[in-house]
Amino acid sequence: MTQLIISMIRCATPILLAALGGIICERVGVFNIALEGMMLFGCFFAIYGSYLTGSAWIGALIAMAVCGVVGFIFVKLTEDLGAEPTITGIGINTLALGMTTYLMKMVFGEGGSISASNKISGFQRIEIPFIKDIPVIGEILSGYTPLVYLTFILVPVLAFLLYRTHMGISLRAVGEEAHAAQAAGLSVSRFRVISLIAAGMLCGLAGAHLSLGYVTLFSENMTNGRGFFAYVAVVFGKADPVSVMIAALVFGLADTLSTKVQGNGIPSSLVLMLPYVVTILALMVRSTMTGNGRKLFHSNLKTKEVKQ
Amino acid sequence: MKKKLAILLTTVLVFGMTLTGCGNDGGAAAPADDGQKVEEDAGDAKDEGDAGDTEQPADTEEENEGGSEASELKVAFITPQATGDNGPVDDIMLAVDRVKNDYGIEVQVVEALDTTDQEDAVRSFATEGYDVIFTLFQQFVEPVRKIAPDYPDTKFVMIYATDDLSMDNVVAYAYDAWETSYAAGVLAASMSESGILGNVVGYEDDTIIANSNAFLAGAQTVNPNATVKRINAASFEDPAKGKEVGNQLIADGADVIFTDAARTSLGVIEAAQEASGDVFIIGDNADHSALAPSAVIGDNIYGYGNTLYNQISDIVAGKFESGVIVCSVGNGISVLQTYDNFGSDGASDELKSKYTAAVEATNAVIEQIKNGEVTVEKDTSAK
Repeated sequence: MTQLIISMIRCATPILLAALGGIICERVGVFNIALEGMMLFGCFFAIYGSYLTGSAWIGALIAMAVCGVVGFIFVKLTEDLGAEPTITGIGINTLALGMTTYLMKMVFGEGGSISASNKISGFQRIEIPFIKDIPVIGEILSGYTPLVYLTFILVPVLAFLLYRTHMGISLRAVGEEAHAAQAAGLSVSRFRVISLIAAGMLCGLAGAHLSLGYVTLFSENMTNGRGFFAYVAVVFGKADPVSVMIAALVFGLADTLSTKVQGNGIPSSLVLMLPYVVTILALMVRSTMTGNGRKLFHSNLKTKEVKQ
Repeated sequence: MKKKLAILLTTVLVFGMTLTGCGNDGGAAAPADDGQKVEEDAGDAKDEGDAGDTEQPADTEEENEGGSEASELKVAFITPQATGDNGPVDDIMLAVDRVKNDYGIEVQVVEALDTTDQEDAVRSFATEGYDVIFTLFQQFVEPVRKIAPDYPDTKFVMIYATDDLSMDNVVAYAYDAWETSYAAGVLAASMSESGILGNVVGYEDDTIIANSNAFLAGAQTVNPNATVKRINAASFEDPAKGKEVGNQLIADGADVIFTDAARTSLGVIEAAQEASGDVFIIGDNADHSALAPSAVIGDNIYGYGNTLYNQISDIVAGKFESGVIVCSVGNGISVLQTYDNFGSDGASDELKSKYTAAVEATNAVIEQIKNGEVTVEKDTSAK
C-alpha cells in the first residue's frame, strides 16, 4: 500500500508540474496543447545543461530558460500573428520531437538515447531528517528528488497567486473577459505573454524532472504523452490548482495500477488500458457534474457577445 | 513588419518539420534521389579513423575502389526502429561496422519509421540495383513479398520474420530466443537470493511470452521455488516507465530482472543501480554492461547482428540459401552474453566469485542445449 502511494506520487509529478503550466495558460485564455513539446524541450536541455556544467540545478534553469522562449514564440504566433493555437501547438510538438532528436545526434553523436555518463549529474534524493524515521508516513514523505517537493509546494503557491493576489485576479479577468479587462486598463497581450513564458518555464521544469529526477537519461520522445495527460488534468480540474493536483494523482494511480495489477491472470493488454479509460471516465464525470460540459474560458467571451 | 515576422516564423516551423523528418526517418526518402547520401554508419567518426581503412573515406561515392571483389557488393539495411535503441538496431549497427572493417563493404542504413515509408525504401534500393537488402522485423514481409519477384538479382534478407515466401532470392531469419532465455533463467536463479525474478517486456507476442516461460523453466532447474513476475511496460521506448516498473518489481522482492524491452530497459537498469540491496539485470540485444558493471550480469542477444554479418560472409563466399533459417544457440547465432569485467566498479570479491560460479553453471546449460541433452520447448501459454 505504501509502495502504491509512493509510486502514485512519482508517476503523478511530471504530469502535475506540466499541468501547473497548463493551468496558467487556461486561466489567461490561451489554448495550449504544446505542453508535451515544451516538456520534451525541457528534458533535452536539462540533460544538455547538466552535461555542460555538471550541475543538475543549472541544467534545470537552462531547461526553464529555453522553454520560456518556446512559450514566448507560441504566444507571439497565436496572439500577435493570429495563428490557430491547435495548429501552432502541434507544430511545436513536432518541432520538439525533431529538434531534440537532431540535437542529440549533433551534440552527443548518437541517436536514440543518452544514458547517465559520468558527465550528467541528476538530482539526488532528499531524505528529510526526523520525518524519515516515522514509520509509513516517513516512507511516503521522504526520499524523493527535490522537484517532487517543489511541485507540491507550487500547488498552494499557484492557488494563492491566482485567487488571493491582485495579479491573479487580473490574470483571470483577462482569461474570462478579455474585453472587460482591456476596458479596465489591463494589457491583455502583456498578461498572455508573461503567462505563457511562465507556463513554458514550468513545462521546462517538468521536463528537467523527467530527465534528471525521475531517470537520469534522455531518450527520443521520452515524454511519451505525459504532456497530453497534463492537459487532460487541467481540463478535468477546471484549471483549479488543487483539483488539477487531484486529477494528476488519479492519473498517477491509474498508471501505477496498470503495471501493479498485472500478473494476476488478467491479460496485460486489458489492464494497460486503465489510464486511458480513467481519462475518458474522468472527462465524462466532469462534464455531467457541470451540466454543460467544459467551456473554454475564451469561448465564454464569444457566447456572451452573441447574447448582447 | 508583422507579415515579415509571420513569414519568418513560418519558415522556422517548416524547418522544424524538416528536422523532424531528418531525426525520425533518417532520410528514408533519400535513396530515391541518391542512394549514397544515406546515413553512413552508426559508429562515430573516431571508429573509422581507428579502423585504418585508408582507402575508404566516409563520403566516397564509389564503394571502396581498388578493394577486393567483395567490396563491390551493394548492401542496404532498412530499419523500422531508430538507431540508438540499445537493442536490436544497435546490435546490427555494430555488425555493420564489423562488415566494413572485415570486408570493406559499406552498408547503407535507412530508418524507415513509418509503415508508409517502408515499402518505398525497399523498392528504391531494389530499383537502384542493390545486391542485398536487409530488413528488420515482421512488418517487411508484405513489402518484400510484393517487390522481390520483380528483382530476381537482388537478395532480400528479412531479419526476425517467420514466413517462408518460397522465392529463390528471399530468406527469412527466425529466432529461437527461448533457448538463451532458458539459460538466462539459470543465471538469474543462481544469482538470486529471494528466488523472486522479474521480467519486464515491451510487448507481449508469442516469442516474448515463450522467452518468459523459458526463463521461468530455466530458473526452476536451479531453484524449484523460483517465481517470475512479468510486467508489460507496453512500450519499447519509455525509460521513465521502465524505472517505475523496475522499482515496483524491486519493492515486490525481485532481485534479478530480465528485460525484453529495448530502450525501456535503460530505466530498469537505473532502478537496479539505485536499489539499496544487490539487484541484477539481464538485458536484451545489446551490451549494457558499461552502464552498470555491478548490476548487469548478462545480455540476451538474439543475434540480429551476427545474422547480418554471417549472411554477408556467405554471400561474399558465393553462398545463399533461401527459405527460413532458424537461429538458435545451436548454430551459434543467439548467445547469452556474460561479462568478465563484472563488478569492475567495486563489487565485493564474494559477489564476483558467486557470479563466476553462476556463469559456469549457465555455460554448462548452454552446452547441454547445444548437444541436445536439454531441449527448450516454445511454450506460449499465458501464465
